Amino acid sequence: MSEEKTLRFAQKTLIAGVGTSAVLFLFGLAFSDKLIRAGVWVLALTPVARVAVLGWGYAKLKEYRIAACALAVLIMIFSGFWAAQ
Amino acid sequence: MTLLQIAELGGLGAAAGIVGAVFGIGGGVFVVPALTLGFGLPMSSAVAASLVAVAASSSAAGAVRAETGLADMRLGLSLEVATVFGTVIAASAAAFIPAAALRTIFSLALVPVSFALARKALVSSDDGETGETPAKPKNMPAALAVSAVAGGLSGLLGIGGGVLKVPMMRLVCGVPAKVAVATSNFMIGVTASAGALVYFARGALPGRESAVLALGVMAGALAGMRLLVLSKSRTLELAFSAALLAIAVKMIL
Repeated sequence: MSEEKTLRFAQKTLIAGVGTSAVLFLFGLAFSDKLIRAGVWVLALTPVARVAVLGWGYAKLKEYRIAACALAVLIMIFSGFWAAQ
Repeated sequence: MTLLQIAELGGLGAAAGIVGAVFGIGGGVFVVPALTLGFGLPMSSAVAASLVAVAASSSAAGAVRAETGLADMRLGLSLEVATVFGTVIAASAAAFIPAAALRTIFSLALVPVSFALARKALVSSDDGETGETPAKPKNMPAALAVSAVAGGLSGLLGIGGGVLKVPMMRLVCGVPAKVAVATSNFMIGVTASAGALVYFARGALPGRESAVLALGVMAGALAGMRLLVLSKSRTLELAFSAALLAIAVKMIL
């Protein structure tokens, strides 16, 4: 996978995340707070998914230092969430 | 929430989205005071909602910007290791640190950064329009240290940290202005997500306010992206330095 494809896939991840959360927010404001909570989840996890995609892409490109940075970021984010619960 | 409140929150979000996309900051420095003073939200709820807004701003702008290839993802990911570390620690410790004292220190730190950026834009012969990130960005240890501080401020104050990241990449790493703004916009989303998830886990996130704010931010960020592509780097840098000074004065007052 080329870097351009990785970036394009990351971009599609962002479009999907922003679009889904916007729809969930709009329906949530009209109907249910549960949909709003789901929208917040999707929106908060969208940049995280972008990091995962980039890490995977750079690992495929054998840029292991950058892939390791992405993995470290993901581990810290989920550790922080887990510790706060 | 009344329709008027929804309109006001949406408008606030749209303004923050435009500012965020153009300057590479999340807009939290404007959003948090507005939510606490204007909408009466407690500080922790305002910080949590602001972090969601920053994630929205970064994601919406990035959905457009990735295609233009301005952001340096390698540099961004490297610096995010330090930033997220600072964010998670600070967001977890937020309840124990006096935010008012930290806000004053933060605003005082912005003043010299603002002047240094303005001086560089006025004196430098490099206009930053066509520049690329150096193959090896300079002064990475110092950049990582500033990133950790920016992450800490993000977790405590609900800002993206772009007000520190953009000048740091520009002045410390030698990155061109537009690349610094685009890379910062990528970084602030990740930083804000890390903080937002901690506040979410604690149950401190106001759902409806966050949703309206985020919807406004998404619309504003998309409009701001068009402005960024059309703007000149030197103008951008001078405007950013003026914005930093205004933020510093507002935070001190």
